Amino acid sequence: MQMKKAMVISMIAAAISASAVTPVFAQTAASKQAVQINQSNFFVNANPVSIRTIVDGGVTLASVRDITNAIGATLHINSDHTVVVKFRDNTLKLKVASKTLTVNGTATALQHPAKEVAYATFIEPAAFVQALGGTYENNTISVVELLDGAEHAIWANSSQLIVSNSAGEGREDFLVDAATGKYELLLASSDTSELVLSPDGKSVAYSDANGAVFTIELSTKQTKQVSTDSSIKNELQYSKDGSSLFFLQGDKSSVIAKVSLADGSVTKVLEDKVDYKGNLEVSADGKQVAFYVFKQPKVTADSNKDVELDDVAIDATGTEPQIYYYNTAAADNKPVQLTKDAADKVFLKLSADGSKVSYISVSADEASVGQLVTVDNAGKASTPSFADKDVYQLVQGGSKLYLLTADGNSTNAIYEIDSASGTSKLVQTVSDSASELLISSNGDIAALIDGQLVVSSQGKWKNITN
Amino acid sequence: MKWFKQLTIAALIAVVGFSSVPASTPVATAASKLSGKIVINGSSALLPLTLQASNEFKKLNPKVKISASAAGSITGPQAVRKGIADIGAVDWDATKDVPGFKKFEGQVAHKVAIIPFAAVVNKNVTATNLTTKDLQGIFSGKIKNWKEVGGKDADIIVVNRTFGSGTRVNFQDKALDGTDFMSKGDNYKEVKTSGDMKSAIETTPNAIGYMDLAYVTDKMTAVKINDIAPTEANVINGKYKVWGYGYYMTKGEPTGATKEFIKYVQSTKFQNGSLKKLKFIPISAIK
Repeated sequence: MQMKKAMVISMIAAAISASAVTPVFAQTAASKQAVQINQSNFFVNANPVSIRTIVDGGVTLASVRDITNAIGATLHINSDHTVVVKFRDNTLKLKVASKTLTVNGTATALQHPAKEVAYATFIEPAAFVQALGGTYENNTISVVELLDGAEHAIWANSSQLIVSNSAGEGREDFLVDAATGKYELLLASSDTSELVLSPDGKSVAYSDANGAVFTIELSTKQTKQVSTDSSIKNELQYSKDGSSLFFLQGDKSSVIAKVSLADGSVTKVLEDKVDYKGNLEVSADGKQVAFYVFKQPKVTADSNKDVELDDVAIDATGTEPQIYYYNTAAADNKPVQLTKDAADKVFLKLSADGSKVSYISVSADEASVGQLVTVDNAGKASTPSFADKDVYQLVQGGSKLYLLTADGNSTNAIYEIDSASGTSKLVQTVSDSASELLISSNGDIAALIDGQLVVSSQGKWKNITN
Repeated sequence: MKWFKQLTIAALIAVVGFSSVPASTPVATAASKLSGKIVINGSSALLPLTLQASNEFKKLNPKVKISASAAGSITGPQAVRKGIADIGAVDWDATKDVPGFKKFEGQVAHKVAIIPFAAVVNKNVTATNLTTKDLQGIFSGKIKNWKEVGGKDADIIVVNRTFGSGTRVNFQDKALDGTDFMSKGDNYKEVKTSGDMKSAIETTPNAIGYMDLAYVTDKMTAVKINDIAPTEANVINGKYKVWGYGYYMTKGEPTGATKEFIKYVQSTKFQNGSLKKLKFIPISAIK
C-alpha cells in the first residue's frame, strides 16, 4: 500500500477559552504596547492541548514553540535569530517581523508577520501548520498521516471504521480512527472475502478461496480458523447472536447455509435447488431469511446450424430479479415469492422481526427512477415512499433505515427513517459523487466519495483517508 | 453511487455504426447517473463469475440492469454480432480463428479470467490419474473400458459438450492435443451446459467428462492428467496445461455501462476477491 504522506485536518469544533491571560510588552513595537498572552485550548490529533496565543492587529497568532512541541517537531534558533523548525521531511525558516516563511528553501508569503512577545515567537497557525504538511481549522491541528484511498469500508464501532484497499495481488484491511484518520493494519491477504462485522462489533469474519472461515478479534488482532469446510461461501454474515455465520453456498449460490463458530459445522438452511440467489438477509432470531433470485433468460441456439447464421435468440421475459422469503419453521424448502413486478430490485433489507422487506425498486423504464418499497412477508406491498425522490441506496443502521437520494444539482440527501414509526427526517447532504453511504449501528454516518472515506462530524464532512 | 457521465447519442452512434441497434443504450437521467441495460450471453463456465460481478456492480450502479444467460461460448460472440447482446462471454479469443470456428470480425476481446479445466469422472471410477494418450483414446472412442487405463472392468460412458462450447474447444486443444472427439455410440452423450455436465457426471456411473474447475463438486473426482492435479497452484506454476482465458467480447470498444461493467470485472478488487473465491484465477496471475 502506498501511503501518501499528506495530512488532513480533524474538524472537531474546539471551544476556545482563555484560561490564563498574561499582559506583556511587545519588544518589537516602535512604542511599547501591552500584549495579552492567552492560554488557548487547541486539539492536536484530537487530543486537547494548551497553546499560547496573542491577538495582533486583530489576527490571532500562536506560539511556534508550543505547536512545535505538540506535534513532535524540533525547533532551533540560529545565531542570526532565524527560527528553524523541522518536521518529517519539511524544514521551515522564519524571522520575527518578517512576512516570509521559507519552506524547504522556497519562500512563501504570510498575511501577517511573525511577532515576538516575551521571548516567544508567534505566527499565523494555519500557515505554519500547513507548511509543515498538516492541516488546521478552528484551533484544530492534525498531522496524522492518512491512509491512501478507501475502496470499501464498514463501521467497526462509533470510533473506528474498517477500510479495505487492493494491494498488489491481494487486499489490505485497516482499522481507521474516525476522529483522526490514524490507522493500523488489521489484515493483509491475497484471496479473502470482504470482512463482515460481528453484532457486538468485537470481531470480523471472512472466508478464503478454499472456503475456510476465519475470525479476527479486533482488540488483539488474533486470527482463529473456525471452519475447514471447503464449499464456496458468498455473502457471509453473522447471526444476530453472533454464534454462527450465514452464507450462500456454492458457485451458483444455490443453498443458504450457516456455519457454527463453536465447532465449524455447516448446516443447510434452505436447499430449494434454485440457483443464483443474492443479497441474503437474516432476521434477528436467525429463523427467517430473504433474498433475491436472478433468473437467466432463455437462449435458443441450434449448434447444428452454420455459425455464420447467428441462429441464436434470447428471451428475457419474466426473468427480472424477484424477492423471496423463507421461514425455516416451515421446513419445506419452499420459499415464498414476495414480488412479481418487472422493476429491478436492489439493497434488500429484512426487518429484525422478519415481518417485512424493504428495498429499492428501480423502474423498468428508461428513466430508471429508484423508489423505496416495503413488502410484508406475505407479499403485500406498501405504497412506495419517497416517491418524489430518486432513491439511490438503502442502508440499515441499528433499528433505522437510511436513504441516499437525489437532491440538488451537485448534492445528494441522506434521510433517516424510523423503522417502528415510519417517520423520516433529512439528516445531511453529501456530494453527488458519493459512491456509498456507511451507517454504524449507532447511526454514525460516513461515505465513500471518489475513493476517499469521509465521516460526518457535527454536520460537516471530514476526510479520514486521502 | 459512483456516477458516470453518460455518452452522447452521437458518440454512441459513432461506436455502434449503422448495422444494428445495440441491446443496451445508456440512458441520460436528470441526475446524469450511469444507467442502461447490459445483456450478456455465452459461456456457461463464466456465468457464475458474471452473475457474481453483476450482483456487486448493481450495488454501486443500481440503475444499471444486467441480464446474463449461457448457452455455450459460441452463442456469445454470435449474439453480439447479431446485436442482441452487449457482451459475449467466451472461453477463447473469438477475434482469432480456433479449430472449428472462424474469428468474429469487428469484435474486441477483453480478458476477464483464467479458467482451469478438469477431466472429471463419476465417484465410482477408480482410474483417477490419466495420461494425455489415455484421454485421447477415451474421448475418441478407441478406449472403451476402464480396465484399459487401470480401472475396473466397466464400459466407459463419455459425456461431451455440444459443438460451440468453449470448454470443449479448450479441452480438445489442451487436454487432447487437438485429437477429434467421438460423436456417436451407445456409451456417448452430449450436454449443452456446464451445469448439465455436472449433473451427468454426478449421476452416471463410469462416466467421464470435463468442466471448468469451479464446477467440480465433491460428488465427482477431478482426475490428474500426466500425474498433475488440476489445481489453481499447478496452473500458476505452469505444471498443469489445461486452462484458458475467459473473454468478454464486445462490438468495437465498449461504452457506457458495458464499459464500466467490464472495468469492474477486471478490477483488482474483483479479481482478487470474488473471482478467486469462485475458483477462477486472476488474469494477472500468469504473465
